[in-house]
Amino acid sequence: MKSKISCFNPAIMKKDWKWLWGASLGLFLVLAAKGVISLLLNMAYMKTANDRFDMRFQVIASHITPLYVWVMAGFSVIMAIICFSYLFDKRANQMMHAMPITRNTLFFTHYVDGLVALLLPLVLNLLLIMPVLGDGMMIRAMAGFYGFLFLAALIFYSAMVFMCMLCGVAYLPPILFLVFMELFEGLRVLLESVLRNVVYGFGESYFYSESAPRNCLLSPLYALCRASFVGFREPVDRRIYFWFDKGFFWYIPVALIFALLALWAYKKRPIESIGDFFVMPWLKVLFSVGITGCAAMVVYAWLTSYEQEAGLIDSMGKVNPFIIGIAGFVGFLIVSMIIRKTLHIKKKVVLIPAVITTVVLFIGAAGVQMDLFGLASWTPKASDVEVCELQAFMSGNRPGELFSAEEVIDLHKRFLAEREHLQSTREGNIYEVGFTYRLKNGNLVSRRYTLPYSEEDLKDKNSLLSIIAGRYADYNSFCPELKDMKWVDVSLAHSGDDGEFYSQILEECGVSTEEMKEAVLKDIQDGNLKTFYLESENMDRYGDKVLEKNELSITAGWEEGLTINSNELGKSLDVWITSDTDNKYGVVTIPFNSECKHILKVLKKGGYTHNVLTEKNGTKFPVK
Amino acid sequence: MIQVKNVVKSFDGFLALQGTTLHVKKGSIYGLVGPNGAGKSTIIRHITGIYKQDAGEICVDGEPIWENVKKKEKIAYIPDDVFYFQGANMKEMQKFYSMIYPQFDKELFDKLGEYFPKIDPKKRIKSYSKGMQKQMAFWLAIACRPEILVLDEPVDGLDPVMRKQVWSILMKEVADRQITVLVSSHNLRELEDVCDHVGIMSEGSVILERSLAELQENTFKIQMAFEGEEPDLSDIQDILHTSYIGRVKTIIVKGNSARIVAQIEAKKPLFYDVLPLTLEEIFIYELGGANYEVKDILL
Repeated sequence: MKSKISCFNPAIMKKDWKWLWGASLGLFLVLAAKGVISLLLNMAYMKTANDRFDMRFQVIASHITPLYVWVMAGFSVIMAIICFSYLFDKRANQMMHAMPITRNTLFFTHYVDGLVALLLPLVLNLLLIMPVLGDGMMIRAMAGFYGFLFLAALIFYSAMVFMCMLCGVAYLPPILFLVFMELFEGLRVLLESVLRNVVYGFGESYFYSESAPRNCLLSPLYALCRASFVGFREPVDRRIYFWFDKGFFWYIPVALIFALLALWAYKKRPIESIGDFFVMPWLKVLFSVGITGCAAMVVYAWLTSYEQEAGLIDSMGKVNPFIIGIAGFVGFLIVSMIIRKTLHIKKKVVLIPAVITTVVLFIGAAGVQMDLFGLASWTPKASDVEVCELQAFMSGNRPGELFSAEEVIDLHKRFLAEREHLQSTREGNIYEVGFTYRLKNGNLVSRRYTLPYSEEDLKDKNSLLSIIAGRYADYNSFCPELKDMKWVDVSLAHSGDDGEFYSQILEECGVSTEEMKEAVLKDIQDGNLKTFYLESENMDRYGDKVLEKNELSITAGWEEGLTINSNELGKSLDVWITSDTDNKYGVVTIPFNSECKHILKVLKKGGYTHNVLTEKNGTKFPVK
Repeated sequence: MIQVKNVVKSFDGFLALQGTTLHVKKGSIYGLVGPNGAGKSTIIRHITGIYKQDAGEICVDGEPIWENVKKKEKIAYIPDDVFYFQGANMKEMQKFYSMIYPQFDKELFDKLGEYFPKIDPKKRIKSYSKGMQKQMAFWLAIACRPEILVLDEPVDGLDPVMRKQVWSILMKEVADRQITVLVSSHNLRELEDVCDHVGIMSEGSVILERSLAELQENTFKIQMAFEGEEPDLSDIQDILHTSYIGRVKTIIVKGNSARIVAQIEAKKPLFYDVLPLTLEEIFIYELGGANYEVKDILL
């Protein structure tokens, strides 16, 4: 064969495909198993057009899952390792580079071989499934999903090739691939966990904007799995389609950038560094910083969670800066000792960045402890708030209806001012109160605080407990769902001597559901049912036997329809369609006491007098 | 044909090559010798385009070798530790090489098979011993019809019969096609029989580079004995080594043999004898001047 100086070498291609064809066939079969093969096998059993539609829909539904994102990720790793495995063997590396082939040609040939091996099964499967599906709408849905997988393959493969260029040992690129494909999201979760432990009131801080879901694009594996989970629209009026955010198309130029970076790294790669963890010295610096930081966060998050569960720390918001610093450095030492032979831990380039990171973490933790960064004491200005919400007592609430923005911020400031008192109370009922702000700049910020219950606080009209509980107990805001839902039936649950609750549907005792509904709402209006009664586990029983032994169970719900899980504070990608199955109705359980005159009056009609409700009846309840 | 000028290379702070300079003429067999860690394999990998130097020049026929496909097509390289693709046999490697090297000669490949009768081209290469794999490397390299053959410890692992065979194939190729051979080896006795030029490396640089004839001419051994007290020989410069066996003094000296013999004769020895050195002895005694001495061990 005459020599050619070109960017593609047939000899290298032939050598790659000796192994690639097997992996490519494997991918083809994995895709086909739940796709065209499943369709063909099931086709024979379908008799009617509706059956065939439903069957095809089921096959598509089982095909469009995050599993195939993982499949593409896995095969991307395999193809990259097949093509570039010689990078981790000194002899192979020397042989390849002694040959009359430029590095550009070597890289380009290997890269294209792996990419084609990855994409070819996608194309073939789509071509095969299209005529079997037959239906244009289904073909479009499937083509949409395969296009999505195409993007996934592109970004995964290019990223994996880039990882291969940075590493001197074969086992490291897949590990780095997994880490970096979830890095941003993982770090966000870890950082939030740590901040929740160190910053007073810190709940979630997922800074959110109109395109907030696009932030998770920085974690491709996470983002693609999530999008594949929610992207499939189930049939409504027999229409199905697959949708994904246009932001994912950014993966195409990013994949190209990864490929170019990989080429650059390939040409810079010192062959003699094979066997080292990282082939370039500056990567060791990043490794030191990364491991130290992550070790500090992981160890600290675990340690404080344990200490809080064990009661060793009084409350959240306390951090020992030394723990953070030492945890980080110890974690770095442990990881480095495991791989010391290939990392050369004693070298300054590795050790010094770890020490510096430890010092920075210590200073940062101390700063947070002293609230130098203002995270714990932060409250927004009313003018910066678009929508805000105060959540308390596990009850439903409507943003803006209960408290104005100014009132919410004032209450927030009071929580901060009374921090010592609130944090020090650990006995009795402890409620959680949450503040959520959607700011005009699009950020979503929340804080959560504990609010202990006490009789004294409840009686003091100026106390936090009294202000918040009182507002929630207001008739117009109290459990509004009870008014809006359609009541199906009401049962009276009574506890017998054996401690079990025995239930009786009141309709069977001559008590109409509508009559009971009216009575319940009247008692709420009269203030006889306090907000915190809804939290049955935290109920203060007062010694009222009616309260102790009885509950009303209300079966109620909405008509079948579309429910979007979102509110004015933010959008969600999740979309559900309720179906005519179990989720149509729910059960609301409310206790009542001797002061609930209207409820007691209606119950009396059914034969449930005060005596019946309070006396021991063994297991003879219900009376009728 | 191969020019290496002041090449410097460091690995992770360690200076492996410190201004290495050597010159391999076309059609010559150049033996590169040196102690362990001298940098022989390193400079060879630079010449074959595997490594890129930090400073200096490496040229083949006047053109830099780095990423030079045209020049690399003319070079066949046999490393000290040969590599073959996973699961490959000789036939597959032959096909691969024939696609890579434009001058690969299939007929020659088939003909060379007669010299390696124990090798089955269809059997997996990994199933053979290291020595047999080395033979296969030769087989492939010669079939590539290179103009330059670069060999790093080529006969290491081969039995004496195969060594002789391999050298004879090489010599034939040199004679027939005027190929240039650069060979690095510790087996100086064998190199002495085949090389016409020698370069001695030590601590990252070539300390001596001569034709073998010139080297043997300029460095020699003189054995002598004197009656009575030994005269002062400090006027003889470049004495590399001195030793005694009884009253017989042996010196290894560099320089013009006629002049040094005249100086010895002037001291009126009882007898003197001028003996040529083997390459091994030249290597040992040259490096003695470079602080790599062979210490006398008294048993």
